[in-house]
Amino acid sequence: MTTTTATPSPPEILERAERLRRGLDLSFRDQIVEAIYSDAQRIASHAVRAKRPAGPTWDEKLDRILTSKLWGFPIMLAGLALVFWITIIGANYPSQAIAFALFKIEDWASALFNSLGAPWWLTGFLWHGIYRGLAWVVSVMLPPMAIFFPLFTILENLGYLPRVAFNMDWLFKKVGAHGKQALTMSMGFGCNAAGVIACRVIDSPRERLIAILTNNFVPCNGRFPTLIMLGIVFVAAAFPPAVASIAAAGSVVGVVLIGVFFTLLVSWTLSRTVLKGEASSFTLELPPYRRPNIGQILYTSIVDRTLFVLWRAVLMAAPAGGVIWLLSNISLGGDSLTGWISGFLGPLGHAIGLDGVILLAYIIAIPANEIVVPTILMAYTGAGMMIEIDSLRELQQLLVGQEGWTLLTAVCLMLFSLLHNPCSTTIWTIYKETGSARWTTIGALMPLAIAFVVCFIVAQAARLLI
Amino acid sequence: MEPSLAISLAAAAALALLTLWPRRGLLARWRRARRLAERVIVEDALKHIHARELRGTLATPESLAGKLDVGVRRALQLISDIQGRGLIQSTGPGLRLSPEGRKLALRVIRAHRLLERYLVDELRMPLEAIHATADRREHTMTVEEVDALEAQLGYPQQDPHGDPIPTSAGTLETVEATALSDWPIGMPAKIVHLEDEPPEVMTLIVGAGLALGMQIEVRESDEQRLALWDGESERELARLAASNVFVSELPHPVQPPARLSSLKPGEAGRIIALRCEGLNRRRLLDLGLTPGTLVECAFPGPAGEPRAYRVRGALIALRREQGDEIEIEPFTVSVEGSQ
Repeated sequence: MTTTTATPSPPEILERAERLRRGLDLSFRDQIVEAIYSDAQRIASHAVRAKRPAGPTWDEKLDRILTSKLWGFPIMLAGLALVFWITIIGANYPSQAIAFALFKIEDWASALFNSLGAPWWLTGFLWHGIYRGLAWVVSVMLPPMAIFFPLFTILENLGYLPRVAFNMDWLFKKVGAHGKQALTMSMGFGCNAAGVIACRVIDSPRERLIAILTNNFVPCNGRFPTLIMLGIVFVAAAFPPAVASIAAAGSVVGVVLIGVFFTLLVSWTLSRTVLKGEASSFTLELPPYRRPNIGQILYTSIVDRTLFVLWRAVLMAAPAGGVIWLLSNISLGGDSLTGWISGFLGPLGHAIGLDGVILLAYIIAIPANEIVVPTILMAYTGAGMMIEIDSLRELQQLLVGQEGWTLLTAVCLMLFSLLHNPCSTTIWTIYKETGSARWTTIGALMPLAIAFVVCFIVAQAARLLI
Repeated sequence: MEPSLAISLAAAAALALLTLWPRRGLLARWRRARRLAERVIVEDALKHIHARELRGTLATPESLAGKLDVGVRRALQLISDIQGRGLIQSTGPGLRLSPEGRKLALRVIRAHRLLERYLVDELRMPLEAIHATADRREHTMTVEEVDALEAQLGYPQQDPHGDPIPTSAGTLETVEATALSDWPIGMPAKIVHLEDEPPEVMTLIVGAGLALGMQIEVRESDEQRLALWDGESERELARLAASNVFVSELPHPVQPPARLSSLKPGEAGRIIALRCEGLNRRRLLDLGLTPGTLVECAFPGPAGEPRAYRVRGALIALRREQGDEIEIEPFTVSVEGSQ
């Protein structure tokens, strides 16, 4: 390097930059972006020939219908109901088949252990505890997920989800939140932890926090089995068989709509109290519609999502199965620990329309919501008592006939499942995304409080009126 | 050991830990609060003396006492304190900052104005609410944090009220502007500065719909109020508030603004300017909404809002607020075949 003047020192360079920055036109940023865009446009006009068709394109026609005043919302609801309906009717038979097969294995294995002279507690803990928890989770979750995730991925690949956000933005605007919250909610259908991470697409910190704190009000895939089971056992049973699955799907849609209502209500409250502020800029790209790539859909939805979520559930279900078996088989003063704990939680459970076993199941299921139903069933069927529940009719007999569930129990359980605290993975994700112990605590306890209050009101009102 | 003794010993130990724990204990917290209170009052005093210097009427112990809401005795004590630290000059009537004191005052003002920019641009807080928050936070930031905030915001040069932001080297530009109350009737003007103190008056200004960069003309004025014209509609402003609005000359007559949000589906316009700053502006620019771009309104959402616009071949949905921030000239020729 040949320089005639001395090299300027770092402070001199900084000072010079400071001086030059003052001299810059305020719009220099705009000029840079303009220059980039005009370059891109010049290149594109050389390389790309676009012919504009005479009439409106297929995309434009589709957009007119999917976002129209008349059809926009009905199509959204119908699409959601269709996804649930296909999931319910499609998952019913495989679920029973898998349960039948897996419980047969439990029978054989425990018989084998007994014939080999293994102590009863080893057989019980391994096979009636850990293994049965796994079997429940796999049979309850695998079929619905293997159907639900690909269907949802198809909607995603079609480019329909941004249209949903577009249609729903006015609602979010009214409650002082961001329109892209509809997108993060859609992700929440898959997994709330994923939904919380997806909130990064929202630029404004205030609105991102609102989206993070309310994501839990979208039932995730771990909670759908609970909702679908209740829909089938309690709602569908009240209808003739021909329309039963439609009624079950309708009830799940209803629960989702209640979740949307609470999302909006809580967003509204937050943006008018602790997270006050104006709505920030809303910009949303509506990409062109694309033909879904079936191979890719099957891969991403089965491998990346279904197996991933199932594996997580399995990891949580094995210890939970062991814990519930221990609780059911360790006796104190003539009653099992399950009996003691659920007896202790009983009055609280009763006040909100549930019972002690359900609350116990929710405590055990804090790591993963997926195992709520299996835990409830294992606690009901109790110590070593073999009740084969390989059809929904038997399930209904157990819950209604033996455990005294009513329609009120089902409704309150649906509401509790929808509104209660997020699972521990989601809570941890909220902490990582917000970096604040305070907001994490609010994110965990606020939904729980809402769930208790809502279920309490519903239960008390129902008991007063009926 | 007696259980009651054990319990009281444990309680005493817990209490001692709670009080004496380094950095998080009550004692440490109390010390920190004391130090912060001390810093706040010194910095507020320097700010006041600096503001009076700029205005040309020097601060006095009485004005300082009034500003800080303390007794004159406390003010005098404070003055001798900061004099002892070499922050104010000791000569002449009225208070003047020493170079050291000016540097410190400008550092606080810099933190305050950058915070205001942040609160408006990034957190979207209403303009009349930011002053109080910035007033509290300005005292808790280190120089490095202020510099980092400036870089994050993209080196803004003015706060949301139009006040220049001091540089990290400690230079402060002055704005040439006239109070709207002294501006001649019928002369086109551009708003260059809004005075944010007292907040009640700022609320009046915001309530009248006035904003930085707006083109206005005074149509009539009397003892009580001014009638203003922005090219589209008439606005009224109390004379009291008009002395807090500063304007400079506009070389051309006031023009009515056309906004992207006024386009109906099927209509098109060419972007003239973006009337927003910070995050919003960057976001719009990133999407290709640069001045000179042709934009067509494609279709509205089910509730009439947001609307989808066709920009450079892509569909972009914007709320009405974003459309209002984009100034356009209507484009009447058929869109077909154009870029």
